[in-house]
Order: sequence, then structure tokens, then C-alpha cells
Amino acid sequence: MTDLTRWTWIAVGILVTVPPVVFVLFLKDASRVFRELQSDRESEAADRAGNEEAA
Amino acid sequence: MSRGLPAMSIWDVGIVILYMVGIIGLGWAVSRRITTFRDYFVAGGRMTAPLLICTLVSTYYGLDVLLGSSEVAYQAGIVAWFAYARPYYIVILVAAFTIARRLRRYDFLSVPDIGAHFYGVGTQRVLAVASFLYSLPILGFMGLGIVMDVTLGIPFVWGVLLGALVAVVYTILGGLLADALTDTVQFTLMCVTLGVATVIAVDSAGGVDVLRDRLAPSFFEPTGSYPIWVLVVFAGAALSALVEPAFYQRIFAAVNYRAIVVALLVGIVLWAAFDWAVAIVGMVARAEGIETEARYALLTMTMQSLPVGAKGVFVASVLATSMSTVDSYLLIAGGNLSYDLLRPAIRRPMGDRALLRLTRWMIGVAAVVTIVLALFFQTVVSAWIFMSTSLIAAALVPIVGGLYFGRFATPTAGLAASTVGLTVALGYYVLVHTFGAFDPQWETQIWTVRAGRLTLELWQEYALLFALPASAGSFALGALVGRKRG
Repeated sequence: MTDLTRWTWIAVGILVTVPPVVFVLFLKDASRVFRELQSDRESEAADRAGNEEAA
Repeated sequence: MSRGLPAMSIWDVGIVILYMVGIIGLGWAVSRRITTFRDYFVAGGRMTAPLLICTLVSTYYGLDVLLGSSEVAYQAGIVAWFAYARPYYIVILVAAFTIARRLRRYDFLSVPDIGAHFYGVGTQRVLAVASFLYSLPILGFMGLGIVMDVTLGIPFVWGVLLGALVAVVYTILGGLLADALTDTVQFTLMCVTLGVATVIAVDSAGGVDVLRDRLAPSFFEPTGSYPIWVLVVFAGAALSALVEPAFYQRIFAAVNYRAIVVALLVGIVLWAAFDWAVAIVGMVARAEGIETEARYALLTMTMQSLPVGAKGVFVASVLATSMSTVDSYLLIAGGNLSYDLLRPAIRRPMGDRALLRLTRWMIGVAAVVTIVLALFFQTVVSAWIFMSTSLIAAALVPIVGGLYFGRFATPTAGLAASTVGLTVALGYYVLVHTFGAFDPQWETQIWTVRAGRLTLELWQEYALLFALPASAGSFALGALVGRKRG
């Protein structure tokens, strides 16, 4: 096997295996970021409601 | 169907429509959770390594790489990887361990923020203009039009408008987080599809080694047949990674420094694999004797080999490659207008919600400017070279000066370096286009200057060789005569 062939198969191997692994890790982190944004939004809404009540 | 590509089935078209509707839905889902400008523009600084890998890899790799690298490989061979792509990996590696670490010490949100911090509002404005011009995704919009034309048969103008509309809607809705989420789908699609397409293309040619028998020996030379100064300019263009607005935005958005380093190291491996595969497919297209414009080599080669269903996934992945770049740069261009130019000019405090609303409007404005330019330019390659040269010439010296040579960073030095760099780049470009001529062999503008026996060929790509030293010299002069801010 020549260098050209070897590096081509290595490149193909990286392209079809690494992104799916990163995608699985990504799903875990993305759901956490979504939850954090949601809780930030709820606490901001609660603060605003509290301020309006106080006023 | 134009350009001799095989027609797509209803299933393939359905897959492309499903992809477009899906990413708009994702943008809408994110928009319901965004409340502040920081959440919108840098995802609240919550980006972890996997999120950064996806958005970095897909943002940097647009159609210019997919079509451009395969074009160079189709015409000249493996030099596309060695001379054109490899310098970027080296510069990004340097940036990961130097500039990224230094930037994390500050609370910046954009490239012009750095100018404002070290030099004041004058430098901030020059950097904002350079960053805005650089970030307009003209090539991305044109790429969307070309892909829809050659694969779906949608006329170029309508392709540009349709692709722009989809990208603008989900970017306006969800900001950087929607950008990162859609980038992830796009990143996975484009990498896996390219990997499969490479296997099919190589198999159809009878293996990689067969290429050696069917192509000229120069196709396997790492330096190809380019003049040495063009190779120097290729390497110099990689310096843009040091002042890249999208790169900086992701550094500011990272949850910590470790996430940036991991993302960049994994990114370099993926970029190298992507570039290699694109180069090989371009060379296979040449060896197979595929008659097409060089820039369509990869599209034509792949569309001819894929079965029904896979064609739709491939077209969606090519659109994804372009959209992942378009959305990121639209966001930055909109932010340059609202956050870096209008907000300081208004001179009265602007609330977070007002800034968020203004940024969304400015993304729309940036999209309209881009559409006009995308439909106006016949060729964008020279425009792209000029834009990236302008950004490096205006921003590299002030940024490195501010971050590493703080005691010389006077307002005069920053303003002189950015303004002179930008002016020299612009002036050189005007001179070469006024006195030079288009060279059909190299497909670029060249100004031949004769002084006695000496003949000098000035390519438009050489602008950086003049603008960067001029910017550095102006910085040194400004540091000598100027006074530091109090």
C-alpha cells in the first residue's frame, strides 16, 4: 500500500467515525445548555413578576 | 438540468426540503430561550468542546473549500493539500496556544472590542468596518445559488434568494446557539457524506494508486507547479486565522480555555482529513476525464456515482457546508453593525433587549447587502482575496500589538496601523486592477512593471506583502509619537 492510499483511507476513516462520536457528546452538552437557558429565562420572568408586585 | 448533472428523484428533493424545514424549526426552538444579547451573540459563554468542534469545523469549511480545493486538485494535484491547506493548520495550532490563551484574560465580545480596549473608538471603528466587509458571506450566497442551479435546476438568482432566506431566518431567530446546533447537523452530514463519496469515487477509478498512471507526475508534487511567491502568499493568507472574527467569537463563547484547545486540536485532524479527501476526489475527477468546469469537479463526480436517496443527502450536505458558513458570518456582520458601530455612535446607554432587537435587524441588513453583492459580482474569488487581505492588513498588527506589546499600544499606533494597513491594501488592489491585466493561465490580475532590464510581476494576491509591513511600520511610528491612554 502506498502513502497516497494509506492517507486516503486514514482520512476516510476519520471522516466517517469522528463526527458521529462528537455528535453524541454534543447532544449531551446541548441539552444541558438548553436547560440552563430555560431556567435563566424562568428566573428572569420570576424576578420581573416580583418587581412588578413590589411596585 | 444544467451542466450535465443527472436529475434528482422526488425522494432526493424531499430530503433537501426536509433539511431546510428542519433547520428553521431548530432556530425557532432556540429563539424561545434567548433573552439577552450575550446569550444571543456568544451563547452566554456556555460553549463546551463538542459544541465548539462542530461549529468551528463547519464554519471554516464552506463551499470555497469544497469547490475551491477540489478545483485546485483537479487542475494541479495534491498541492491543494500541502501548499493551500496545511499552512492553516500550523497557524491555528499557534493561535490555540498563544492568542486564544491571552484573549481569555479579557471580557471581549468581538474583534473591534479589542481595538476599543487598547486604542479607543477610532481603531474600533476601522476594525468594525474591516470585520463587517470580511464577514459578508458573498461567496456563501453565490455557492447556494450555484448548488441549487446545478443540482435542483433552480435558477441562480432564485437559488441565492431561497438559500439566503432560510439561513437568515434561523440565524435571526436563534443567534450563535442556533448557529452551533445547525452547524452540528451540518458538520456531521458533510463529513460522513464526503467520506462515503470519496470511497465511491476512488472505487470507480480502480483505486488511489491508479491515479499515478493516469495523471502527470506534477500532480503528486507537494509544491505543484506554482511560482514560489504564490506559495508564500498561500502561507501568508493562513495568517487570517489569527484575526478571524468567527474564530474569535468562538473563543469568547467557550466555557473555558481547555474547551478551545481540545476543539482546535480535534478540528485540525478533521480539517486535514476533509481537505485530503476533497483533493483526492478532485484528482479522481481529472483522471476519469470528467469534462466540466474545474470548480464543479467534485459535484459532478459525486452526483454521477451516488444512488437515489444518497444524492439528496449529498445535496443537503453541500447546502449545509455553505449554510454553516453563511449563518456564522451573517451573525458577525450584524453584530459589527449593531454592537461595534451603531451602539457607540448612539452615545446613550442601550438596554440589552434593545441591543438584541437591533442586532436581529442588522443581520437582515447585512443579508440584503450580501445578496446585492452576490448578484453583482461575476466572480467572487478576487473579491474574497481582497476582503481577507483587508482584514489581515487592518487587524493583525493592532491586535498582536495590543495583546503582546501593551506598552507601545498608543491610540495613535492602533489607528495608524489599522488605517494605513487598510489603505495600502485598497490602494494596491486599485493599482493592479487599473494598470494590470487578467492572466488567463493563472486566472488572476497581474501588473507587469518594467524598470530597465528588471521585470516585476505584481499579482493581486501580493497585496498583503505590502500592506502588512506598512501596517507594522505605522504602528512603530505611532508608538513613538503617540501617548498612552490614561
